[in-house]
Amino acid sequence: MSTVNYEPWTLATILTGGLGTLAIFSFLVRENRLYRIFEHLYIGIAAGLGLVVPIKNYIWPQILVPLLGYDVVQYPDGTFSKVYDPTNLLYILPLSFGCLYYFVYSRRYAWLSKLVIGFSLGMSGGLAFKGFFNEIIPQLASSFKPLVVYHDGALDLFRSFSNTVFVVTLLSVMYYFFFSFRRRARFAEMGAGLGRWLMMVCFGAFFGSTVMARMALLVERLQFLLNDWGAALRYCIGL
Amino acid sequence: MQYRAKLIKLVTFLGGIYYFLEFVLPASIAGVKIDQYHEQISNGFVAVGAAAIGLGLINLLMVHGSRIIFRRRGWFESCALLLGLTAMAYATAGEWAGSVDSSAQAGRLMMLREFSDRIMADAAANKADVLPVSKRNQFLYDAATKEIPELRALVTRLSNMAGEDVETARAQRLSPRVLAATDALVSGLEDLPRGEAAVGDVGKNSEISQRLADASVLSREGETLLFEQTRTKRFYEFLYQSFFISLGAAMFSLLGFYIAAAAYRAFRIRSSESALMLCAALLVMLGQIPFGLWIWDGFPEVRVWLLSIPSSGAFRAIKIGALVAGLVMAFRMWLSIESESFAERS
Amino acid sequence: MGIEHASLGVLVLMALLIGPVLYYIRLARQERELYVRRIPGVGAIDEAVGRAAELGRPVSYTSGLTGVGPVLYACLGVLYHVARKAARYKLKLLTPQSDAQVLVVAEDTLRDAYRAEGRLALLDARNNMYLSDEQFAFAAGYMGLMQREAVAATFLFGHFAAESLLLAEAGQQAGAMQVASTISPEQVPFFICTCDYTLIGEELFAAAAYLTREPVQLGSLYGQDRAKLLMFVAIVVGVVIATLNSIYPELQLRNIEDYILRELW
Repeated sequence: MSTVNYEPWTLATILTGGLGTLAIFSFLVRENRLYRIFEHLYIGIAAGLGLVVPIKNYIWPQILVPLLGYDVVQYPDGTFSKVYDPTNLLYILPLSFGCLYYFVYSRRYAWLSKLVIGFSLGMSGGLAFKGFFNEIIPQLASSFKPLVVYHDGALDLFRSFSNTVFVVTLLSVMYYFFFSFRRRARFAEMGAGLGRWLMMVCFGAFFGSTVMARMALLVERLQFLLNDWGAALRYCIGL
Repeated sequence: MQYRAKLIKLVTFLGGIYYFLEFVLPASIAGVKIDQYHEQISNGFVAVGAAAIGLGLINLLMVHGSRIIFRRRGWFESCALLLGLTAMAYATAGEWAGSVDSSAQAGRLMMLREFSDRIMADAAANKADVLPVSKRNQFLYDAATKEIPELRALVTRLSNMAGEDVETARAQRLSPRVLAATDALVSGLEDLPRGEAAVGDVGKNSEISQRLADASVLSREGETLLFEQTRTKRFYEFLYQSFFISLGAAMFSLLGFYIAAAAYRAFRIRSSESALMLCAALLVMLGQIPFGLWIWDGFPEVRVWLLSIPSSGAFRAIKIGALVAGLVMAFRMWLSIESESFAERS
Repeated sequence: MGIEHASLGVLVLMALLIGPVLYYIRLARQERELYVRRIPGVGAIDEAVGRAAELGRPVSYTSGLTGVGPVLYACLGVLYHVARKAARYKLKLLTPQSDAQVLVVAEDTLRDAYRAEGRLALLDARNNMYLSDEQFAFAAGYMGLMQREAVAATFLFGHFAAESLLLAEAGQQAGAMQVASTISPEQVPFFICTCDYTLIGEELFAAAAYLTREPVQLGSLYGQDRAKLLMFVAIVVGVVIATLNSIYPELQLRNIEDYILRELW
């Protein structure tokens, strides 16, 4: 007989979680009704969360609170913590503009949604410049590896070899991705071929490195089913 | 219709011009800070996207609502979806409201702490257009004293929590701390110079500020602990843990099965490229497991070398190419440079 | 520490990267012949849609976790092409999305594609569906959808994370022909193992140019290659400088990034 006493909510959580896990695993056999129900429940739950959480974590504290002046507090002596900044009212403009998205459902005025789509695309285009340079400069700088490395006055063969392999890989893979240069010379074809081969080594290595991590996740879920869910089931049926 | 295309192109350009100029121009020109309103402007830009929050909901209601109404295939599952959506939205909103309520007193105590700090700051700055310190301290005293009964009620509620679980033990440990903080606050308020007869002295305000802050933190902790026992919070946690977290973990763990299937499919050696991929994967896997160490203790180093040298080089090359392509695409997107642009296809 | 504001070197680099793009777009508009080498996976897009037409089964296109940005813009080019083909062959085109804004953008693109084929009446708004912005809820919905609809061709173009293998396996289980493309190098191995064709990294951006052969897109691709050539040469020069500094430490040559990041103001 189990000596653990489960609190009702905890018991319900474990039992439902286990059932849901089995429903997901049943997809491995084929798509079935149980999987479909839990799939739809999952999407619904995620949608419900996705509706409230952005309002709670962002729209309310960052936009609506300053807009409505709720961050201005009145002290007991009648003074205020700060003066309301009227420029906060300007937040109405982007919020109203963003509402143009909903015109996508109108046949006649659907073009209005293109305004805000265009604005969002333009905004991400403008943002891309800073993002590009902040990513590419460090990547370039750390690619400038010396092909000949010395350590304490002596040639470090291993590091020199490693750096050479790195640079050859980098350049040959970059060369593989040139689309508009004709590869007439044999050397050019060989360079592109080498790039493709080295990419395969890279993808194989990365594949191998994720196998253990994915297996660990599976083991964790199986442990939950066998230990936690199993114990909760036995508690329910009185074993 | 020409004006529509031009308007869309203009708006697209305006969408990107701020961030482009913010990057290209220096931080300040002729002493004027260019980006002093950067945070508010960025919030405004994000607000445009945030307004789209209802779009997903509308689509879900349209697709699944019509399935239910017209009893199309899958209507029962659509009911489950909308039920889950409603339940989770209600639970999350309830949890939010509850947590706001439970931190209401903590918020008031923190406001009084800021008021006490403001009294000190105004006295130090000799501010003329405010009431004398003694009068302001009287207001502070009156408002803080009103909070005392609620703090004492919190102590009682924490002490009365029954059960043998971790939360009850926490409540039992917290209750005397809240009581001590309340008593300290009461004694500090008694010592606060206030009223017509008192000299305008802010010497005690610093101590009161600290005691108000302590009471605020403990009040928040206590109310949060009590809120966690309510039905609203438990219902939210049930939905969140048993569906959102559990199903997410289950989906993630499916990868364990699929990665084995993918490996079998890929590594049937059909070409020299797949052979190369297999060898690299095998070397890395052997470097991660005890069996590999048993065969040869050099496998971990081979693994590290493979991942940090050729892999890293290839990844970087792919990344650089994608970055350059992304920049070019972003530039074309921003300036609407297309044969038949998105704007013209209206 | 990041680059908050552009230095002179950054501005020069920006001009050197963008300049060739503008030049070749102008050249392409003058109807000059521009060569683009064959990209294997891109030709498979038409093959996959053709297969779906023969089998009379639906086609699916998803951009995964892609948000509004340049990657989405590239994906839209391929979506437009696939949607036009689907409209022409009267195929059911499913476009499950994970982002509400992308849903609207895709809706717009689909409408344009169907209108271009004169088949706007065939467009069913319910096939452009929002699943979830939560990664695994999206994957769960997508997997179920692929099986229930028995899709014959799936296209996975955009940004994907750990759920990439789940999405690709679902299509594999449904017996679909799959073409995938992602800019995330970490996910490419999984697509290679499960999909029939995989476009790697920037081949996603080249796909639309290759498919449509539109002058602006081809010119842009040409300019992009010249920009990459600049990066290539910069790396070679940087490696030479670093090697010289290593062999002759007394030289203390400044490398390229020092010149790029030198403050202008």
